[in-house]
Amino acid sequence: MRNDMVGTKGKFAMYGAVLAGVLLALAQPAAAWDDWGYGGGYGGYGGYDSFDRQEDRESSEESAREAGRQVRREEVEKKKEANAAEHAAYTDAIMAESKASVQAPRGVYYRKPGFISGEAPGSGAQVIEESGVKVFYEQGIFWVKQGTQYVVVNAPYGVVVDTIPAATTRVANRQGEEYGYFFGTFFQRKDKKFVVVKPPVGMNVTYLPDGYITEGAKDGTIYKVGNTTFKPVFVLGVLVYQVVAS
Amino acid sequence: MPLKKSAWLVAAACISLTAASGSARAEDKPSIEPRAERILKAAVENLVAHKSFMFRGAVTTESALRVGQRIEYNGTVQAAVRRPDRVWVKNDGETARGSNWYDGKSLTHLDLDNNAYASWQAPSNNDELFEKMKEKLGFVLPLSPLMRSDLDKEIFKKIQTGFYVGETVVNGNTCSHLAFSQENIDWQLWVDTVVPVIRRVAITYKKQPGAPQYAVTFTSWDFNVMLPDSVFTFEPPPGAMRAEFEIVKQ
Repeated sequence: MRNDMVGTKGKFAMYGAVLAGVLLALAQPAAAWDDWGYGGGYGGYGGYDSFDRQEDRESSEESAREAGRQVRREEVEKKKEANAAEHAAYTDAIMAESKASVQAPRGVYYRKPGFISGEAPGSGAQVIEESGVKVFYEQGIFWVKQGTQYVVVNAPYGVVVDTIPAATTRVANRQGEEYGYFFGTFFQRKDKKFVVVKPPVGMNVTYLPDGYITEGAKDGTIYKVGNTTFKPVFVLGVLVYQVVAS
Repeated sequence: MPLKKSAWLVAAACISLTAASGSARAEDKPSIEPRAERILKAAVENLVAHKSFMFRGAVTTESALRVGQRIEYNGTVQAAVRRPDRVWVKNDGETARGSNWYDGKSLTHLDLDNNAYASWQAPSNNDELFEKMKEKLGFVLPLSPLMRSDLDKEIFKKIQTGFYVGETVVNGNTCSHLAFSQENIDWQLWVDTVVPVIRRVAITYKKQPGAPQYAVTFTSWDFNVMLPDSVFTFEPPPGAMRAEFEIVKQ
């Protein structure tokens, strides 16, 4: 009977040890919480005797963690500043590069005439023969191969394309003739395709094509892009640009 | 394009009170609650009585997206009026920023975003200017109906129904809240109970998709102020582009 009692106590001691191990194992995730700043809690409480020591230890640990967090915060701030500077430089470059970008559709694939790329237009590009020259058309942009490179050219009048870019603006004149306008190029529907036409005189557009030159004419300001001349006009109180010569 | 749509809304807001088409037919006698009529009359007579005034206001303009969602744009409006032939109005908002000068001979509109302006040989007084602008240029000055010298007569011609909603506070001023209905718009007015000054106006375009609203809460009014000619004289800003108006109707 005594032996049984001792045996029972021994079993309790054994179960206690196992239970302590399990609790210790379960206590591990609490350390992970601490990494996120979740300090303290009841898990480490060891009674009044150890309280002060534990508080000291936790205080020094917390100081170390705070120092680590401060380093990380500074790193994040530095990264933010670098990103902001990079973004500002990028934006400035875009603005300097393209005056039209101020009013033109945003987030649109566009390359202005003269842009050179070492990469060929995508496999979906339409190939057009124009006066013996092979022209590649892709998303409103016309490319011509020069040596090993490809250069963006003005849209050749009269060529027929299968599609027009999604960002094409629909414009119409007073006679009800509709055109598609995309960065200085005018498209007119022809059956199920689109033909590039000369900028129609009198047509109003909401933004100027890239690379325009401003001139102060006697009767007002005019803008020239290649052979096309625009003038600013208020229509119903909204500023637009009217083709006056092409 | 939201900007265009909003510009239209602002323009429409300005013509609504006096120039909305489809006015009440002569045989349709408007049904206006006497109390509402009395307060409205006092408010417009107060405006008409002054030879000059200035105001500022906070503007909200709604625009309905194709999917039905309504977007609210905020801005401000400032105006100076000297009867019979001087007006200056500036609107500064999320969708459009413009300033307008009328000196009794010509009207100049400056697009502040694009630094572009155009001038138009205008009629010889304010009331004719407001009418001809709409006809010839296709747009109107913000809140121009409130600047008319015949507002006290014109405003009642379009109203079909009107009633007193109750008493409320606008910008710390206790106001009478009035509601009116016309053929194409519903509009509400908040008139100060101490002096008959308009503290807020809200216009609902009930026949437009989404029934958008244009509202102005007036933040200040100054009556009989000295307004020199220079207030109404346009000076082109540096580098401004000179444009022209397209005349809608010859």
